[in-house]
Amino acid sequence: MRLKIWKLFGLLCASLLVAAIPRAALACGWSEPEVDELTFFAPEIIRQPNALPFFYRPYSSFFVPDRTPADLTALNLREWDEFFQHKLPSKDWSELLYPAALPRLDNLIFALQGKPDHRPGADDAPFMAYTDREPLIAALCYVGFAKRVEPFAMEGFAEWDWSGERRPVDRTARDKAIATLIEAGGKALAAAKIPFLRQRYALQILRLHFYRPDPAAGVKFYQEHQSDWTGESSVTWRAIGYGAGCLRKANRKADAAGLYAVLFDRFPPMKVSALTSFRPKEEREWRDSLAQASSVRQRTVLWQMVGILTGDPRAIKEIYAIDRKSDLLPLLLVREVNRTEVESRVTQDSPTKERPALISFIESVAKKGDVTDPFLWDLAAGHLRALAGDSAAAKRLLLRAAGRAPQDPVIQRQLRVSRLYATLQGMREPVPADEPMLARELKWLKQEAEKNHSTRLSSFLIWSRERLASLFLKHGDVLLSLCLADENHPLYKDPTQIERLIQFLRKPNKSAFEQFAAASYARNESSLRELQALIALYAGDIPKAAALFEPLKTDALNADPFVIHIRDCHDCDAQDPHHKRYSKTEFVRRLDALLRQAAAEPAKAAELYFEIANGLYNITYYGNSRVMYDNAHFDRTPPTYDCSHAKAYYRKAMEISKDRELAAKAAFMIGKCELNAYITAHPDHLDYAGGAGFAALRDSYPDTRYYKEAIRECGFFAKYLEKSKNGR
Amino acid sequence: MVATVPLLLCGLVAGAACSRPARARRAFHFWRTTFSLTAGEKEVLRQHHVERLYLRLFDVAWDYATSRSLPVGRCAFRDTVPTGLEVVPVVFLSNAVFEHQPDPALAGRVWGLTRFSADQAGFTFSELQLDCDWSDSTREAFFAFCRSLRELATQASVRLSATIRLHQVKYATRTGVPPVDRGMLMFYNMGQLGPAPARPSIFNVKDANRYASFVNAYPLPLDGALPIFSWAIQSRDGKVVGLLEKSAAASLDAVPALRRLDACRFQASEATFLHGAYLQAGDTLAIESVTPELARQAATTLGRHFHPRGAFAISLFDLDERNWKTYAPQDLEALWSAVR
Repeated sequence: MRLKIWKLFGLLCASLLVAAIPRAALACGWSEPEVDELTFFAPEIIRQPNALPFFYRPYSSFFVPDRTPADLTALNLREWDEFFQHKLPSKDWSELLYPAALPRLDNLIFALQGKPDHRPGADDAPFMAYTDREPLIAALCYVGFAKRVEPFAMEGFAEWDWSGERRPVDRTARDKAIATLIEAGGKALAAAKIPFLRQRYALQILRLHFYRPDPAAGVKFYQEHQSDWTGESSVTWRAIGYGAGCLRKANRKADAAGLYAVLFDRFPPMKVSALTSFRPKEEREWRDSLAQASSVRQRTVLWQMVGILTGDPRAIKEIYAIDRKSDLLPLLLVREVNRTEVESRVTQDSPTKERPALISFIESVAKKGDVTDPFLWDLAAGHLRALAGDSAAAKRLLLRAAGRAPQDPVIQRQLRVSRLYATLQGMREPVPADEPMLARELKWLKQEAEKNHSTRLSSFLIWSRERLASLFLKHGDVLLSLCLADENHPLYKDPTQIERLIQFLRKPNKSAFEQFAAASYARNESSLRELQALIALYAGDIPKAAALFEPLKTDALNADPFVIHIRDCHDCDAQDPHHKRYSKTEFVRRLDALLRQAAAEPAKAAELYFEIANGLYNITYYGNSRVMYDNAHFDRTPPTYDCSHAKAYYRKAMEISKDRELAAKAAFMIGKCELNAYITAHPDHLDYAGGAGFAALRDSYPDTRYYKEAIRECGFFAKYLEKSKNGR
Repeated sequence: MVATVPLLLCGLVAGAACSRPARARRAFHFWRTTFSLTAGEKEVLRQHHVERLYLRLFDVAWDYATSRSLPVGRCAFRDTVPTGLEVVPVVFLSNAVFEHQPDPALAGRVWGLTRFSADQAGFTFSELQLDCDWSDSTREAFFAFCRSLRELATQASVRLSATIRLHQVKYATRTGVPPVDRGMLMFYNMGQLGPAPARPSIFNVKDANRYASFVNAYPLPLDGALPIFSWAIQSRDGKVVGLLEKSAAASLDAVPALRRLDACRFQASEATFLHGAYLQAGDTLAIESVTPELARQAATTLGRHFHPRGAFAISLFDLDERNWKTYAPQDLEALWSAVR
């Protein structure tokens, strides 16, 4: 019913970006390209691993599958391991903490307490062996409480599950149960002597408050127990998260924002959830959040969060104005570079035209260099100038970047990529003197792409080859162009030109650049020679085709190309288990042999011509062996729709045959060739008036068995006869 | 015998002259994620003797992280449904759900969650409606889902209906007709979205007339939905980037960051958050409102071409007070009365 904003944006982006996708990224059906396929600027140069979920992505949400659950679980288990002084196997504790049911837990507690009639279970040995029983029992009692809290906490997650089998929830009873648990938890908290467990009891009680309809009570509890959550344990951060949640539910959104900012800034496992929870809805909320920020740091964090959420480049300027040395700037910077790259592909416009204010800002900051990593700004500015085609300015900026960049391999790689990008963008024609440098850089790029399994570098390599290919083509060097980026070119229709390409591939002592180009070429000599042979074959020159095919190892045809029927059934022919099998080479060899035999044995010529005709028919689009022309760049239109060569041999067979049945067959097949030509020209083929073949069959062979078979099996022929009778 | 025939004929003629055109069952759509009615909304239901509520119960979305369909945005019930109001739960399914490997269990899950949710909210239902804008590539999967769900619904004496969009009415042969008991014709969202569209996108007579003549021939019995909502089309650098729902021009005048350009357009003079959206400086908002006059045109246009056979409902989208507060009672009455 409604058009969701995200769906609309996605659809708009999808439709706009189809045209801009690199050739290599296209497949049979369109799927959203990854940002790595669309950009050449690696955001990883900022060297902030926790920023990964927030790198720019034009389609998907920036939420990579949330790392939080696994990260928090691992962290929690490490903390428990510390608590147990590494004396309790983590695997056993994890089993008890997470999947184990309450009865087992309760039984274990009683067993540890020495209560009669409570024996430990088979898996409880490590706990029974643990010497420090008091804290262990206290920990187990806490776990029992936490497991009782969990169903209320997970109830919200039933939102995300198909739980139609559950009984309806009685809300009054539920709220009462929560209140009871809070009371029990409060008592346990009051009695808890171990700070590690106190923190956890307090967290569980806070969670219960969060899931009650009275957020004010949750806020009160959070504020009263903040001193329980000290240090940097996972519990502290999770408590901050729930505290923020209670504040948000209590409509104290600015206060909540402050806590989300703390979480986002300082606890990586909850960065994504902090950001998604933060989302301001109205301007007042946002301004209040900023106004209440408790520190410069918090203000800049809030701006970074807004910058990521909204994509507004304003955020980067605000942070720069507040704190030029902020480590929050680089993420927003690389996001803007990637966004500009993607948008330029869509609009085909230069970024200097689309986003002049942004470019100007980045360059001015780069020039001032008063940020923490000025080389990043030089590199970003240089890359954007390269994108804009301003090679000279790009190179100046990149040179400055190189002067102040660290020797980090990721950064150095990006510098080299951006320099090559600037060079290629600035080229207007191929210059022989540049070729050694290009060969070196492209070879390096290919190695880096393969070594790092990098989609981005592979995309850049493809782009680079295509860029050079277009320059070579424009300046007349077709061979290098096709090797760098193959395409359907008229060269592939001309056997002489194909031969030139073959000779280039075979050329000894190629230059480094020529070697790179030849190695980039997707095809090999054998496939080009097959192409030459196919051109000869479909031109009707059987002896030449046979000579060209002879040295080649070729694929098999999938049916016997010499069988023919009134009604074609290609699948039937292919599935016939007894069909004779031919490779392409063997097929053409046989055609040639039949031709020579026909010349040498005139008495058999009619049958031989008929067989040749069948073979030539079946390698057209209409026949059972059209795989014959499976060869990239073989121009299928018109030769593969052309039955004229087959028709010529059917005519020869008809004219000289002494066997009237064979002649009738040949006449019908002439008619079929003519019908195919008609259908190709008239796709609706509603008004086929017949041709010479049907006429010959009607007039000269009405007494044959084949004639009767043709009427029975071929509706076109039957209709033709009826029209003939009616004088139409 | 001879005398009987004229009598019969007279009877038929008299009967035809005396028969009343069918009256629409009055309905509203409820499309918020929390079910809670304002006093005004309760009053409008009462005042206009509204009989039915099409209530969005939950969406089904495709979760890319776990590669499965999940229910999202479940309606939370803070109020009970007013007595005497029939509820037709509506489940919205995104097209993406059907673009992936078909899930044979999906129909059972949707059915189970619908019944559970209705139980929890305290209402029963005799019709379940599916809302999915299926495409050529998802048609077979969606229709298979409909067949499975219909089996379950039929066993419980529940009708299954599906929303039908205008292009699906006009090109029914190509788009297919879903295997359900009834359709709900969405008589809106017919124009092109754009920064400065030539014609309103929610409803305009010209685009409506391209589709309306096909309505009566649609092979399913239909109910109808008419628009009374408004939205603002957010654009940036000449491209549409978002939609702000239920945004009326009068309320936007009060936003400090917005500058009015003309009767229906605003521009953000500075960046601002607004109703959950974010406007960058320079973004424009083009308001489209379905005024009472426009809504009447929609109803009249539909009424000219849609002559239901049997009982049918006309629903107004949607019940939110912000939509109808500029409508006088007779304006709403006219909408339900236009289709006979």
